[in-house]
Amino acid sequence: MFFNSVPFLLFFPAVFVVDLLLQRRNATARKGFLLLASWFFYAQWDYRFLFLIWVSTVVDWLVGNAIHRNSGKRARNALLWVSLAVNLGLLGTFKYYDFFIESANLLLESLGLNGNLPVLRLILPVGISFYTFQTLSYTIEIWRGTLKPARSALDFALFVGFFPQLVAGPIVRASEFLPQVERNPRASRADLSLGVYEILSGLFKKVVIADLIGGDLANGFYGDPTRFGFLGAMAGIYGFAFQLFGDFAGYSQIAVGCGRILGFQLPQNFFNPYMARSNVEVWRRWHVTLITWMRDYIYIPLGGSRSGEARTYRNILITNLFSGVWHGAGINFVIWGLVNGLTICWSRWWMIVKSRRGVVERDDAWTVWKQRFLFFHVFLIPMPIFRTPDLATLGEVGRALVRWGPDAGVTDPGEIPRRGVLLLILAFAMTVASEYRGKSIRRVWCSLRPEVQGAFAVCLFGLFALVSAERVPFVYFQF
Amino acid sequence: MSDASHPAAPAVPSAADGADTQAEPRAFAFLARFLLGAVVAAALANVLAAALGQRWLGAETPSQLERNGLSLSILAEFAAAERADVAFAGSSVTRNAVVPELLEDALATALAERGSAGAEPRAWNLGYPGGTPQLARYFAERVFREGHPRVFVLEAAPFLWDSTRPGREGAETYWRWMSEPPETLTAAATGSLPYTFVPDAVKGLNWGMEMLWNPRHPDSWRAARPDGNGITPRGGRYPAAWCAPGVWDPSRDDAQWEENFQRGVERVSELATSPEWRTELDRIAVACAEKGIELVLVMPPLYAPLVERMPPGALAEMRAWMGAAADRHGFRLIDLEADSTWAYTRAEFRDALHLNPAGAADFSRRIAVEVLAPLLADG
Repeated sequence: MFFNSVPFLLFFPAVFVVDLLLQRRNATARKGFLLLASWFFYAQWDYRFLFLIWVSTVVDWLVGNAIHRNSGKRARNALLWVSLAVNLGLLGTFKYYDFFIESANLLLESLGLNGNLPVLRLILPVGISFYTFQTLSYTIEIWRGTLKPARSALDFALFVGFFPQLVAGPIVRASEFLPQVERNPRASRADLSLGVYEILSGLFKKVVIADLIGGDLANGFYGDPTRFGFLGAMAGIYGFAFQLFGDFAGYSQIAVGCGRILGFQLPQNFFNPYMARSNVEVWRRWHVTLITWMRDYIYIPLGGSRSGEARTYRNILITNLFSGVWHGAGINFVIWGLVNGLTICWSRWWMIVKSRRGVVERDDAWTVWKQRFLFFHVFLIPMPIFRTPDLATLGEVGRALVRWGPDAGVTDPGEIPRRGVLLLILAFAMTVASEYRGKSIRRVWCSLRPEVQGAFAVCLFGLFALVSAERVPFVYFQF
Repeated sequence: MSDASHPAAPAVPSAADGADTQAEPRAFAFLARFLLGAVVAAALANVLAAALGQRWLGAETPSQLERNGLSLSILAEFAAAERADVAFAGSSVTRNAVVPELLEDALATALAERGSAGAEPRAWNLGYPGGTPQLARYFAERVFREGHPRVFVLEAAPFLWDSTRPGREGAETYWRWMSEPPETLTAAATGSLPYTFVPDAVKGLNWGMEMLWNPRHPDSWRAARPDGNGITPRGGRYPAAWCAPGVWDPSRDDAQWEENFQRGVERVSELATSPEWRTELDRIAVACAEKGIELVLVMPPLYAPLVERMPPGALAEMRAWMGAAADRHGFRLIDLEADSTWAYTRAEFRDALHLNPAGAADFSRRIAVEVLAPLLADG
């Protein structure tokens, strides 16, 4: 069940109404209902993989409690390893096994050996990367002593399986979610308004921005870069940048909105990343819940920035390598992660150099926009690596970028779709508006009467219905 | 990456952005008022759409016809056009083979050479992927009018017209598509679509979107699709610009060639002249005769390796049957497949069934000069 589908349009209001009826009467029944609804939501994709969620839930619930009860360091460590082994074992088996085996086979063949290790061809369970990281953070925080176990298995199961964030994040921390579950939260009028706002805004990003720009500009280009010259390639690359942002930020916003309407506050995942003024800042605005997860559980344990510059760069590279691999099992994701790490290292080094030289950062509009332009494009550089299925296609992307002149795009006689270009401009304008007027827009929205919000919503839904001839799955479902 | 505390805006959105979170939740009241606004807006959108009365407001359904490129606005423009000399109907073979703009240029030149200088012939390609004889009959009976078009060129490749033949894979889907268009087609073709309640309550927004994207052509935003759907004003898959020498690189089709060829082989292996086709052709011939439209049945040139894989005798049987039908109704049957000078090679096909832009350009020019010009000059 996708957020941008008719079944969800029926599912969510039904859940909302039942949740409303239950929340004042029986908190436990409410949690149970939300949990069942969440599992139902997941089962719409493939009920067989509910089993994995249940395994992860049971193991981390038991391990979390056991760690909390045990004061011995060795026992606590052993229990943590159990959780890591089970969670990462499942993730590794379903997501990475084939990649590593195929890589090993290639290596063996290159050495003249028989590279015939068996591959499993398993389906990647939707959301496994997300809920695995959630349950891991729960156990690790208890192991660190910064979190107490959930009060009940039901609370914990709801933390793992809460449907708005189950399949594509945001990656919620137990410390954010469990206190809310225990409080039996209710949505205020402001929550309802803001929830609707987040859903509409997220759907607009997904259905109008991401899907249309993707269809008009990005998919065509990345599908066959040989047909395009420089302009077509740039349109495709810009298009994918906004497609990816619209798709994932849109999903996250819908998730936040759904949670909010049900009374739960989920963390935002994106803060206008394309308005960042440095490469470091980009990653403080992009997929925030993953990046902070990586920071807290990989970068800082490696030593963070506390062990000298060289180690800091090493830690940045390792963390970004993990971030790349988290996105997918493929050499392109490995390279993508490393290139991102290198650009962050460069950005950090450059900031240090400027600081040593005593360069004072100016805040005038010219400087601000110059930096935004620069770092948006720095962020853009590795994106084709992320998008292309193999290195050969990546090479074609590079060749398209240097194809210029009267013969550019010789096999791309169609013009760059005007609608796509218009939508790119719209997406950019929305990003700027959100950066400077985001709070004002929300404030105005919340000040509207519910009737006006309803009218606005129905108009937007009409727009979504008109422009979406086909429902396009969310990109991040594949991770 | 920094281990400093997260500098971005608060991770949990603050309700203070909007309004007071301490207010007593009145969710049901909110929901009721929200729904009231939604229903009123939907009703108003309907009234607005009805008042606007644009023919495409209602016609712009997400029908399969639209998606596959036979835009209803093309049909509407055809029906409303002052002049329509030639209309092609057929399957995706026709849609890929005829470039109206090129055909018109070649036809104008050929007519000038025959003494009809200054003629500005107008051609339309109403070919449709998965097209059926029922659809062609529908055109003949309901969309065409007296002498409009002057010549109706009907694709005579029955095995390509068998989308609804019982037993064919996807036949039910094709039936569903075909059952969809009559009302909207009629309305679009006559330009007087009666407004009925639109289930999609905000259909009127379509108007605003169309005008926003291109006030001149209501179909423009669909036209912008990279696969070229509806991109030409009078139908067909390829804009004339794609057909210029050297523009289309045939090697781009290489990757899918073998797979597409096998699909074509599967199609011709179940070759049959369906009873529906025979019935519909009779009705098409009658309708054309009544409206003074010259009906021409054209067997398009086929990819030779594909023909070799047809069931033995099937093509001959088809020819015999079509010949008999032509004699019975008095229409012309032109068998380009049997004419070796029309044989196209892989360089002109984008797959085993469909011509690429280079092939379409050649086909359009030649059929204009060799087939249509004599007909129109005589008429």
